[in-house]
Amino acid sequence: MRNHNTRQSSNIAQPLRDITRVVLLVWFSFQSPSGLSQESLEYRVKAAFIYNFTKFIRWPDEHFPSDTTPIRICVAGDAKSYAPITQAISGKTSQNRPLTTLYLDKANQTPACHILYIAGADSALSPWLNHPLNAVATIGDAADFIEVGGVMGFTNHQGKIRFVISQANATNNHIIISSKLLALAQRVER
Amino acid sequence: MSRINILSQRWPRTVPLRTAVTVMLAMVTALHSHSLNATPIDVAHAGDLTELSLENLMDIDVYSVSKSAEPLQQSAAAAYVLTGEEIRRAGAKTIPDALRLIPGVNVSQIDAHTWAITARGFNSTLADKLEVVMDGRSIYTPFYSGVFWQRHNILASDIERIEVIRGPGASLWGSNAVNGVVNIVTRKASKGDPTHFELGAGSAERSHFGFSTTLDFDNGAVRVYGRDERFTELELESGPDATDDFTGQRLGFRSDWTLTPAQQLSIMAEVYRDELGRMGSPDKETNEVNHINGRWQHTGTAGATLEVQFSHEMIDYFIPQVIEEKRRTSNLEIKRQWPIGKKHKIVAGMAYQRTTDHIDSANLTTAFEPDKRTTNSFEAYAQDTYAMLADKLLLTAGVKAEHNDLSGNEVQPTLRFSFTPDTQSTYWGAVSRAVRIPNRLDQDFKVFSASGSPILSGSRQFEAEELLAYELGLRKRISNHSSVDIATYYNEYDKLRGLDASTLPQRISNEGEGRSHGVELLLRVQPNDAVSHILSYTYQQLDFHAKAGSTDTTIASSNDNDPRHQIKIHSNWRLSEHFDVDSQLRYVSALDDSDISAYTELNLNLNWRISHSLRASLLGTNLLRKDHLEFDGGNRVAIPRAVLLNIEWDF
Repeated sequence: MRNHNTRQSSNIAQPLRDITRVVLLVWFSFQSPSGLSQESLEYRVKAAFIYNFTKFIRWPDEHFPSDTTPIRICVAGDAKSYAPITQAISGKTSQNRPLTTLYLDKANQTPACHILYIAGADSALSPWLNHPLNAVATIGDAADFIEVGGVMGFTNHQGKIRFVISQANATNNHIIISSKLLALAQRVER
Repeated sequence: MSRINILSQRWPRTVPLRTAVTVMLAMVTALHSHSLNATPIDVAHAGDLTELSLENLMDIDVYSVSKSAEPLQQSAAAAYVLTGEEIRRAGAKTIPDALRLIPGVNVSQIDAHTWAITARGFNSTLADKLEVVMDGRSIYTPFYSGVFWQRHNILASDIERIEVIRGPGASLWGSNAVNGVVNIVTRKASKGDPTHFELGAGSAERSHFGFSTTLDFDNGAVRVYGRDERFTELELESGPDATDDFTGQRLGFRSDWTLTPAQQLSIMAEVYRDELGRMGSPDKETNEVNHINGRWQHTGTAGATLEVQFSHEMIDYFIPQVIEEKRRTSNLEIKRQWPIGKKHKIVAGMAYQRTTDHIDSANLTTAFEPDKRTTNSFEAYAQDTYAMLADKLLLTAGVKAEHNDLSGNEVQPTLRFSFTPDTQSTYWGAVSRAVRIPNRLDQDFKVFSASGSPILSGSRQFEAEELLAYELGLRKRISNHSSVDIATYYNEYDKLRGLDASTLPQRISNEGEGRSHGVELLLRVQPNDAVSHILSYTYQQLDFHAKAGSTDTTIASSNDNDPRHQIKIHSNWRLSEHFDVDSQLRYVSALDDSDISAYTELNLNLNWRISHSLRASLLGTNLLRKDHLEFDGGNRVAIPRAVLLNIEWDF
């Protein structure tokens, strides 16, 4: 009958030393590049996309009372998306207009947004989409965002950010999307 | 035989581990010298992405290890999500290879086409403590309550993610989720998906060819796919061929439809054939598995969801000169999730399963009696999660009640809590009961002597094996780029399968009991966007034996087949926009009952993104030694060092 106590307990000491050495080497081998914020690359890439989008969307003239009225990018949903967008547009202009951002934390606010980015995996369920928003380019974080009324949706295609556009929803919202942006979209719903 | 001396002498042989350390050091220092031309990736590290054009932005890889951890932050279980992207970067081409990437899961390759896979102990060729589900369809077989893993190697590019919960998930996932649940989720068919071809060939081991193409429709899409996979035979430890060659083909489709904004429908189906060799048999075993699976889901405005799932599977499993199993299994499940006020989230459902089989014996020594059997099971489950203290404390109570034709009534309750005092940490704990219900082997298997009288028999009195599990865990974000996940458990098992030798015929009976405990440590480090490390250490101690007074002698020779220690280090270095290197180092300590010594092994996958549509990768598996043993399935097949070249084309 086997006696469990004399069972050789696996000789863990030597490989554990080796692997600890590897672990420590790996841990200490990298420092994060100084000055670089540790926000996820995905948030910053999407912020850069949104900045670029402002160059390729045309809103009705009456939504810009003066030549210096800024293009307002509103963000709802995942709050971690907000700061990267504010950083991305800081000090920049688009279509000769300044850019500003605003975070909407209550669903019943209706400020004058030109872009409304509903961030987060459940953006397609957002109450903002219940009816078309006049002169607002709605952007969401799921491909089916445009199936439920959104104008543009971010998708993640094998690790890279792409976007899809619904021209029908853009027309419902009275905005025009430049053909250059349509050409780069992964998919366009007409 | 003095095992102690032999095993301690084997360690000097793993000099290759030092080589691995040197190799990694070299890669580490190489990374510090970036190329002089600023690629988009370098700009990404420098800071201002708005200077890039849209085309350049679309080229940046944004995979993030932490993203998959976030939804689990408050989970009151030892859960882990492996994304499809991580599976592809690691070069895993089979489900078992993908499961190797998951901390705490013990994957042991038995031969070219067979694996023993479990979590928290009890690994065996008939490992039966893990429930495995693919797109809501259980893929364990009622034949022996395990999984024939070679039947399920779909295209890696079609896997969305694999979720693993270690520990009993019975109240939601059902019987046999005793030590854990593996949930494989495939990607939805989505309009605009490219057509995909992949081809791989490698040393002495395998080749594969796969394709998938998506047809677009107004309100949905259909992805049609096919795959051919071949493994050539390996060698036994003692030298001769293991005659374990394998060839398998599958053809299927997955379709996803949006019927209305609130209604989704998925329908998938597949036909599968394979042929595999086994030692001692001149003819090949064959499998034919055809299935269809449909799920309809409705999402209400208040966040309530209703899901109806139906699946049907037809299996024909032929072992020449032994048996042929023909089985039809149908499953219908209704599940509803809904919140009550702001504090309660309820999940409730019902399911019905019917499986009909005919197991025909081709020899006079073994048989299943009766050879035809239909078993029904009906179950209902409910779970309520109650939020307290401004949603910082979640209390969950759940139960699954089941009536089945094999063991009667089973009740599997669970109580869980998770406490998240701040955004950095979550403490969780659980007490649960789970059962492994009897299968055809336990109840109906018979072995006959030469004169035709039974010498060994299953028994209708065989009851479900039982587990009472106590678990505690902690998940903590240590810094902006690292997090730790600790899970501990103490399990009490009863009514484990053994052999009652006091009668003639000897009876398969619930002869065993025991305890196990363990600690699972996981450390994720992502020092910057180009490097990620996932380090895990799993400690388990199992002590199970025949009960006092039992005449069983089989348990003692198979209760030491689980490694006390497992270490996995999975790293990925993105060297440039076009190249990344994925390495998986693993250490598994010895399996004493089968005289398998501890081993350290390394897989390396070099990925080359040649262009938008063309990718190549070079995968080296088990690089540290010419070959090694992982498990003794009766034949002691040596798993060799191998190289596989893989090309993928998307257009």
